[in-house]
Amino acid sequence: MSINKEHPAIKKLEQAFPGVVKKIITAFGETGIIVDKDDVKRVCRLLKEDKELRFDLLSDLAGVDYQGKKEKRFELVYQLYSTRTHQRLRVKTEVGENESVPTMTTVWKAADWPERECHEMFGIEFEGHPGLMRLLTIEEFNGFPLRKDFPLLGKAEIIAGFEGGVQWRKRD
Amino acid sequence: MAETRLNPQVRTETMILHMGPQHPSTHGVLRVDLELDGEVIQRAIPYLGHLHRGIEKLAENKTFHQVIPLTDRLDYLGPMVNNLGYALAVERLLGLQVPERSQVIRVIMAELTRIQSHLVWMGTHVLDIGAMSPIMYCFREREQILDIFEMVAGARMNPSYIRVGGVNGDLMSAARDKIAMFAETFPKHIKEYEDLLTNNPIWINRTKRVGTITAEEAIDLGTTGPTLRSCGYKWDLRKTNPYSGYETYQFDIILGKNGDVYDRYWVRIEEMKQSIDLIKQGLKKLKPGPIYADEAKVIPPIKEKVMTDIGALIHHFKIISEGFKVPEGEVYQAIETPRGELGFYIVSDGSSKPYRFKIKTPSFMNLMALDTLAKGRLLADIVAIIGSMDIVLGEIDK
Repeated sequence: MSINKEHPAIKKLEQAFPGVVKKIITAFGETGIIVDKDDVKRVCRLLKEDKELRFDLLSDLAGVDYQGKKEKRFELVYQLYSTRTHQRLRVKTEVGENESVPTMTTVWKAADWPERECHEMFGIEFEGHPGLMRLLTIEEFNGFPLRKDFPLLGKAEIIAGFEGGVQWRKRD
Repeated sequence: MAETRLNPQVRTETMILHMGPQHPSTHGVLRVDLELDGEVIQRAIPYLGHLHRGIEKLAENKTFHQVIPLTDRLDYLGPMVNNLGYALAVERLLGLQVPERSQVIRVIMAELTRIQSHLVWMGTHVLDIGAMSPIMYCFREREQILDIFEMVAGARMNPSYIRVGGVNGDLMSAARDKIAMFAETFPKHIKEYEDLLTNNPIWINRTKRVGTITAEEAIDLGTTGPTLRSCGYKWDLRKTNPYSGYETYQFDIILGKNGDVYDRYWVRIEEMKQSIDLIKQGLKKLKPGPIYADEAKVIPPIKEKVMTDIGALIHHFKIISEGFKVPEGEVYQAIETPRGELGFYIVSDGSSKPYRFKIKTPSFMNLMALDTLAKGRLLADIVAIIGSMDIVLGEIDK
C-alpha cells in the first residue's frame, strides 16, 4: 500500500518509458495508473516480466462505460497482482467508441475470456485476440448490455426459437 | 499413425463430441465441445452463458444494500463468502470499521461455508468418478452446517447474513454451542471420508497424474485457490493480504505437489481440517460486544427502536428506501473463497447505487484452464478433471 511515486512499479515504469504514466491515482490504499491505449501492452509486459515486480497474475479485466461523463467513453481496467510482492496495481486506459485496443492474451493467457466478456458487454474490439466471440450471451444477441444506454429490461425479447435462429420482439 | 491402420479405406479424422449442457458431471449447465482423436482429447472448448442472469447490470440498478441478495446467488455453494467480499469492498469505500465481534463471526461463517462447499464438491466429484457412498456422508455433515446457518441467519441456502457494516443478527449461545459441537465431531467424519478414498487404489488410479498443470501455467491462466495450491504454489489471500482479522489466526498455507486431480482432492481435505481449527480459534476469540459499526448514516436503527420511536422509523425508512450514499471512488477487494480469489471491483459515483459493479469470480478463471488440463487425456478423465476444478456455474455465468 505504498503511496504515489513511491510505488516501485511506477518508479520502474518511469525509468523504462519516461512519460508513459499519464496519471497516478491513489485512494483507499490502492494505486492505479492511467496509460495510453497504445502503451498499455508494453507497460503490462514490463510489469509482468520484470524480475522484481512480477505482476504475473491478471486478477481481472473490467470495462467501465462513462457515457457523457468523460471525453472518451470507455475505460479498461486491468487489476494486476504480484504473487511475489503481494501488491496490487490497477492499470487503466481510456478507449473511445469504435476504437480498438491491443489484446493482452499474448501477455497473460488469462486475458482470453475477460476480453471476450468485455467485447460482448461493451462492444470494445481487441486487436489480435484469437477468437473474439460472444461468451455469455447468445450469438443472435443484439446490443451491448453493460453500456449505460442499454435498458435494464433489454431492447427485445425472444418470442420463438427455431433451428438456426431465434425470433425477437421489440420492447416498448 | 496412418500406416498402422488395418483398413486403409477407413477415414481417420477427429470427432467433435458435445458434452452437456444437461450432463450430470458438469455441475450445472456447462457445455463442453470435445475434439477427440479416438478416445484421446485434443481440445476441450467450454461454452458458457446458460445461467447468465446479468447480475452486474442488475446490481448497477439497485442500491448498495439491495445488492447483497444478488451476491448470494453467484456462488450458491458459498453464499457467506460472497456476502463477505462484497461487504468488505463497500466498507472500504465508506471507511467503516467493523466491530471485532462481527469480524470473528464473519471468519467463523466463512470457514463453515468453506467446509460446506468442499463437502458438496467432494460428494459430487467422487460420485462422478464412480464412488457412490461418500456423497451420503458428505451431505449428512453439510446438513448440520446448513442447520447452523438456519439458526444464525434464518436461511439455509441464501442467507444474506453478512451486511455492510456488520452481520445481520448476533450469534446466539445456542448457535455457538452447535458450532462448537460440530467442530468437535467433524474431524472424525473427515477420517471416514479419508478411509474410503485417500489410500483406495481405484481412487488413486483414477486421479493420480490426471489433469496435471504446472504452477507457471496455472498462474498465467489466472487460476487461483486450491487448484493453484495443488501445484505447490504458496499463495493464499487469507495469509498474504489478510482481511477480517485473519492475520490474528494461526494457520499454514496447504500445498500440494503435482498439480493433479489427486492433489486437488488432498488440498481440499486438508483445508477442511484447517477450517475446523480456524473455527475453534474463532470461538475462543468471541467476546461480547456490538455487531454493527457505529455509523448512523449507513446502518439502520435496531428494530425495537423503529417500532417505538418516530425518529428512528423515519431514519430506517430513509436508509431502506433511498439507500445510503457511498463516496466517490473505486476499490478492488479480493478474498479467498473455497474456489479461489473472488474480487469485487466497485466504482461509485457518490450516489446510492454502484456505478460499475464488476465481479471477478474464481470459477470463471479456473475453467479457462480446462483445455490445458484435458489435452492428451482420455475421454473418461474429463469428468474427473471438471469435478476436480470445483466449478459453480452460477458464478461463472454471473
